[in-house]
Amino acid sequence: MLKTIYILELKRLLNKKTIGLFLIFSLLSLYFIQIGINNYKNVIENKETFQNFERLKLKQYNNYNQYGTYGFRILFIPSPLSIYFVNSSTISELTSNVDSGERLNIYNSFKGRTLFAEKSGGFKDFSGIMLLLGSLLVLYLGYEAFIHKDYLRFISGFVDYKIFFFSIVLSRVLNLILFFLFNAGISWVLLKINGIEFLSSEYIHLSIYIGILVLMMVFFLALGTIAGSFKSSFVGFVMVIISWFVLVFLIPGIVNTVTAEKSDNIVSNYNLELQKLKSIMDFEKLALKKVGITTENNIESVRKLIEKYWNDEFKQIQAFEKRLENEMEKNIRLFQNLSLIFPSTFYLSTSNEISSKGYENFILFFDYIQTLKEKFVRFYIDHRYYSDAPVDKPTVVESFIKGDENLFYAKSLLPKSFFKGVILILFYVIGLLTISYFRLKKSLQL
Amino acid sequence: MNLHIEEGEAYVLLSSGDTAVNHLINIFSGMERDFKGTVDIDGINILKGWNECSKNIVCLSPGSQWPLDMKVGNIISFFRRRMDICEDEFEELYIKLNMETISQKRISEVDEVEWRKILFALAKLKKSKNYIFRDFVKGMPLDFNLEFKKNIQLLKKSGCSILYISDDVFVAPEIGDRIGFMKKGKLLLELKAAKMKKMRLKELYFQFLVER
Repeated sequence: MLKTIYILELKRLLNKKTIGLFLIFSLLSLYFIQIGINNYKNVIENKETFQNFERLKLKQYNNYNQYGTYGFRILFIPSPLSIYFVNSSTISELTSNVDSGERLNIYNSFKGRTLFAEKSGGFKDFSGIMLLLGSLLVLYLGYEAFIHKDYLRFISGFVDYKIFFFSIVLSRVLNLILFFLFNAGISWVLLKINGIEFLSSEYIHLSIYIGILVLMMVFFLALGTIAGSFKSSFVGFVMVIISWFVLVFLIPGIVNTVTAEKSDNIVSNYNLELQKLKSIMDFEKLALKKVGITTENNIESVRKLIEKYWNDEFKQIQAFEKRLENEMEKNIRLFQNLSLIFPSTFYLSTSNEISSKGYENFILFFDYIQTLKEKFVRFYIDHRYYSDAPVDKPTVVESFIKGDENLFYAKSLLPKSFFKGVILILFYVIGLLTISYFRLKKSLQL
Repeated sequence: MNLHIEEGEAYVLLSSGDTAVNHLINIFSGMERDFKGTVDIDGINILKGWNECSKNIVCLSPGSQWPLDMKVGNIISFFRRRMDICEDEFEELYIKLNMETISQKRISEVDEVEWRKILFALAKLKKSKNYIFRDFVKGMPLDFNLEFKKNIQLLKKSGCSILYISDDVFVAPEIGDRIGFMKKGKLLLELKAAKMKKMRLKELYFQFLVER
């Protein structure tokens, strides 16, 4: 019976209008994949330029004092999976400057061409198009499955209503899965043509992403079936539009606003910088009072003072940054927990992390910079105050960075509450289909 | 309402209102299970043995809410698979419905006469013994009406019971053996078709008023 109804439903879907819609949708997603590919290739090319520039910069330093003052930069390199999430993830482009001072700079450059780069948080990528247009298409598919009441009444005279209802839903779900797998397949072909390779872990995350995408679409299909089960097809259509708007725009907007408002509780960057500056200024006043300017004669006293700084003031500065990190993490958890509630926000939250340009990777990047900073400050102290090089004469500066240490290769991740989100969507789907089953039966009554 | 339709009999139920008729159709199509009284199909209670009953009953009421861009051929193929029709039977249906021309047409492109013929032919594939029609010949041309009456006669001869629900007092004695007049769910008057054919409309109306 399922096979018979599946064939009928497939033939019903394979009309010029639906095929046209699907083709346009697929072409649009391919277009955005290509944009993502170009964007990623740019990042990889920039990586080479970045590292060459850092090496050149190092050659300009005359001594470790200059190296410590100007420091070095770290570049955030997203995973190749970011091709699917160019515009919709949190991080677009990220760099950090690490020096021996109290400041920890993580920034997005707005100078030059980057001023005009696409800003994050939109729909203009594969993932965004899937949500924006895919959800509308699928809502319509669900709605269209049940609006033709005379047809359903006629067929239900020949097939048990329960079997008929679930066969139609399963057929549409199957066709949905095939369609999105087809899109994933052609996107993979495009990636191969452009020479982009994924690691096995990236394939796993891509599969998880496709799985979540399909699950979210099944949710929208189930919602669409409720719209189709109204006696009046006009009322059902209005419900389609309203639910699309609410789930795709309104609710994600509310979640983002709540998260942004709660982030007011996080210590401000200015306050943090002020606290760190006060710490270091107090130390510098003390150092000036006790030993004055560093010379070869007072180097032992300076070393003792520097070790005090390393054990006290520097640890205090690190604690301030750690506090900021903890507060940011708390807000990230809030965002992820709020995002769990609705499938569209859960999809956005999961896509954000799978893109490798999400909040989890930002925290890992932050941690990585902190670790490097600690090592760099120690490196600076050792070379500035413990080496044989004369304090006031030029010297060859050894690079702190070995290999690709100044590149942070972000990996695709999942949000912490991922499995809860999946289970919740499944509950939603079951609930919606149950409502749709009983509503449709009632609406088939004359 | 107390109504019994014999095997090989066609009963026309005349009613002007929709509510009671809709209830009846909903009960016979299994969509309404909350009603007082008993409805039996071939001696099986419709509430207790719906699975059995549903195999032996066909409800046909023309309606426009069909997926208009669906090809007629796809619907026929579905029924062919569902009803497990043999080659010969399918060939017969194919020729009868002029499927060569119609099968590639979309439902929106098929005219109402052809469409009702298709629906009736598909309904007969179920090989049920009980048929319920609602206004099936309303607004249709004369040759369709004649063909429909012929089909009803054939169904009656094969032992099928037919309930035809309508508000058309002129068609009633042409189709039915007995005619019932229903108002607000109550059967007010019942006449044999032969007697009704002899009555003038005014006579019929007065008799109805008396019973009411």
